[in-house]
Amino acid sequence: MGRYVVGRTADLPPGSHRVVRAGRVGVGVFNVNGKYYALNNYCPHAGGPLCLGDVTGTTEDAGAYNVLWVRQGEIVSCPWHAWEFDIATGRTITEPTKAVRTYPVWVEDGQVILETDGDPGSAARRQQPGGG
Amino acid sequence: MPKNRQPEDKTGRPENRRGDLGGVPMARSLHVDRGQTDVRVKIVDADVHPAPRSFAELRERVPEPWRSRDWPDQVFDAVETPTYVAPGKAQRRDAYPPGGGPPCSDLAFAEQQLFGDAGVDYAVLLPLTVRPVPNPEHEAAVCAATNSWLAETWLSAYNRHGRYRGALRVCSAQPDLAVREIERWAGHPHFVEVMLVPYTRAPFGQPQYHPILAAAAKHGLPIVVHVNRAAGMGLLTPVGFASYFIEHHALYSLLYATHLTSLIFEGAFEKFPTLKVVFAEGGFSWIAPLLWRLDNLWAHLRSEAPLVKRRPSEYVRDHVRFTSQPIEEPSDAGHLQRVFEWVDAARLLMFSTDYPHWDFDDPLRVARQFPDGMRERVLRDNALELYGLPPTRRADGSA
Amino acid sequence: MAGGGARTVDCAVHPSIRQKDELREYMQEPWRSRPFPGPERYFYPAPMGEYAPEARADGGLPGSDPELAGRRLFTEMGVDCAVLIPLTRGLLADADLATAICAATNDWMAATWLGKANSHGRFYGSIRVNPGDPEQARREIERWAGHPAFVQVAVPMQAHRPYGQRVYFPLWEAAARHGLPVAVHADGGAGVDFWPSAAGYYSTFMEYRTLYPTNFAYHLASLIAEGVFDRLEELTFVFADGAHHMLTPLVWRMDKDWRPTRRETPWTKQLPSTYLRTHVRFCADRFEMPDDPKVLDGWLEITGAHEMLLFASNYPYWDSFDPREAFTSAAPGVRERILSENARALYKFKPGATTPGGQAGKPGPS
Repeated sequence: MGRYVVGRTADLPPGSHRVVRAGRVGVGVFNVNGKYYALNNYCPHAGGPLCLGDVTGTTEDAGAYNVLWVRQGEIVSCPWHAWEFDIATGRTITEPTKAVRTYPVWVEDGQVILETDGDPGSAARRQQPGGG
Repeated sequence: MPKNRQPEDKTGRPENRRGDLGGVPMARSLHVDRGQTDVRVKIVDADVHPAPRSFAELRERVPEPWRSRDWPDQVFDAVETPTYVAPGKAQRRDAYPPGGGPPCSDLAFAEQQLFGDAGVDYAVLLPLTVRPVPNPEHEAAVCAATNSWLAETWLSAYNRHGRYRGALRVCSAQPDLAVREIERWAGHPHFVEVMLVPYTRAPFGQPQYHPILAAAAKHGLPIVVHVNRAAGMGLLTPVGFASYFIEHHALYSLLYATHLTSLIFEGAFEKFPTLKVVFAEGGFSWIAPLLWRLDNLWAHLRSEAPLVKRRPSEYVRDHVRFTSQPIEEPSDAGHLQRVFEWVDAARLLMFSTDYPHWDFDDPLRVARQFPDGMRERVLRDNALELYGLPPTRRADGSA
Repeated sequence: MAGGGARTVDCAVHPSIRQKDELREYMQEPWRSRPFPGPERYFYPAPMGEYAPEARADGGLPGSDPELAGRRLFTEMGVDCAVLIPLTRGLLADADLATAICAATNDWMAATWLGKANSHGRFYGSIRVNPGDPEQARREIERWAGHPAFVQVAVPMQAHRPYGQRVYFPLWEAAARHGLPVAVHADGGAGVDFWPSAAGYYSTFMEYRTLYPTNFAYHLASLIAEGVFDRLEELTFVFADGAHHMLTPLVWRMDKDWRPTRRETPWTKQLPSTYLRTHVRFCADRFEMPDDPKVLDGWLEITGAHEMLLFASNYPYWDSFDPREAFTSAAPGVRERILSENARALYKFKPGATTPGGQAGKPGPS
């Protein structure tokens, strides 16, 4: 069991994220609209460093070639092949769903605490090479 | 209660988002040889794209009058303003060097990612710095500058370890200029092939290209066909212009199929028996059904092409190779293995990463897709044979 | 093996007018006296002749005799019914002329092959429309949609924009609304086409025959990337020149790019290859088969082609596919699907669906 102090909440304001050197490949800790989330830094598609990607919104089809920009700040795109993940759930916004491993993260006494259950790298190795 | 731990890092600070990790260590290398003089080569990467650190580095080598004429900054402009937008502006987002410059312009950083993280032994470098332009002399001038730049940097000053090879850029629209450029560099120890951009007004089997094929064959240099960012009529399909990148990217394959069919049916492989051709970045699964069509139609229609003496699939077996990236990802991985058998991947396929591009194929992951016996041929042997590379190399301190 | 079985559907037969100017009888001025190209393809003549010897009709163009065709298809080859796709005249510069030719073609078909020559009720037809004028094309669909013998719409492969682009949407919407598949087939005539390949003109017929049908891929990629199938659940495209085997790997490439580029085309809601089964069918091409039947079986299985292929003789051309020789070593059940069941699931065949009284349909546009 690993508990990490990621930093003070003031260091991780809404819209920010950082990669913590926990485990073999790191864990990304994100602040989305005031809530913290933690994702393994290993994309389930092909193993890219997911948490080094950009955090943005995305597009949504509104019918008849109308497009909306939605979910600003809620989506992280893998820097390798640009797969889009919902930060809050760690799941792709496309189907069939692929999910990145998520970890508990919370605030205690003004500090952001991350908990990993052992080596996230081993979890990464257990994931299948992606497809579909 | 376990003591709270600070994240482990050298500086004592939590990691920042980009660049601090400098390429997340993934424990990628397929081999770890330390303290040996010679290393057995395991992976040849047949498609890597180096870039100059700045456009000035290229431009200073461009002959006049082209150097003095205004044209957009090709290196960065080409990355920033393509007609069809690839994700991440076509670059892997984590491949930008921390010290600045475009991806694959900083030697140390590129080698950390390519040799270190990806475990590549040899890399064949295809510079994409020459945007096809309407004036062939202009294009040929930038080709010449690119070749000089590559020769002086990645193929010599950066190449003490001897792990880089390069592709010569030539302008196919005016074949005598292309031949001149090939002759200029023939015999160079590290140029291993001649690159042609496929957005042409006629397919490569036609007679106007034969001087280029002849020169390449004479010097034992394969032709490599690889797309390079184009605009305008080069992008026209038989039914008009596509709207989106996903269409455009998928259909590289048909462009390549057109050139391959032309080379076969125009008898190029009979006329130039030592000619070899590589199709890069266009996929390979389509080869199986194309060969079925070619063989069947040739059997019925061979009187139309008396130069063609053998079945088309035999020419492909002996003269043509394909790079693997971007490798297909059917939802059932078993399908891909069957396709490998049908396309004779053990003979025809050469592994590539396409580093530093966004749809980079990681060797570890790709290796898993191939069965034993086929894996080594694809990751290494087919490229060693085609390019005449030594099967071992000196251990050099990088991975 | 005996001819296809009693239920074989031939999904591409190409009837011709008897002589070049016959079409004018169904046209009004100013088109009636306007010169326009003949039905033959302008480039890349087939070196051994375009037509199968047995299709040559006495005193008429090959493929112009419905009785001769019927004997060949129904009696000799054992076909049960045939879907006729007459060719038009290429991508003509004058959009109104192209529309008039389509309308005349439909009137001629309704009067002859689907009319007085269809007492057996085994010929079905395709409504030819000109996508170069989508509004007129839509009206032409509406004109014929109720006619029981027309089972699909047909458009040329030649185009100036890929078929997924939004200018064509009203046309596909009309076809889908009427439950009519849309067939795409390389046209005859001489038009203002772009190059036949993305790298210019081929030299030889062999290249043309190998590669031209694969140009469907550009239309298919467009239909998927523009979300046409997402917006029109009922729409099916039939690629009547074949090339299924070449196209599937290209759609796999789109699969790989779908998640990375979703943001650019958010209306494409599913993995591209899923649209093949639900929205696309292909006439089988005699020349796209591997020698080894085990390889063919495997390819059909991994591509799902046993659901997507439709047998087509391509009568009266030199490369006609005889159903008695088609897919004879396919896995059990697969042959029946390709020769019959896939077509019957796709088309609304009404037995005896002849033009009432053998009359021509309503008059065409003026």
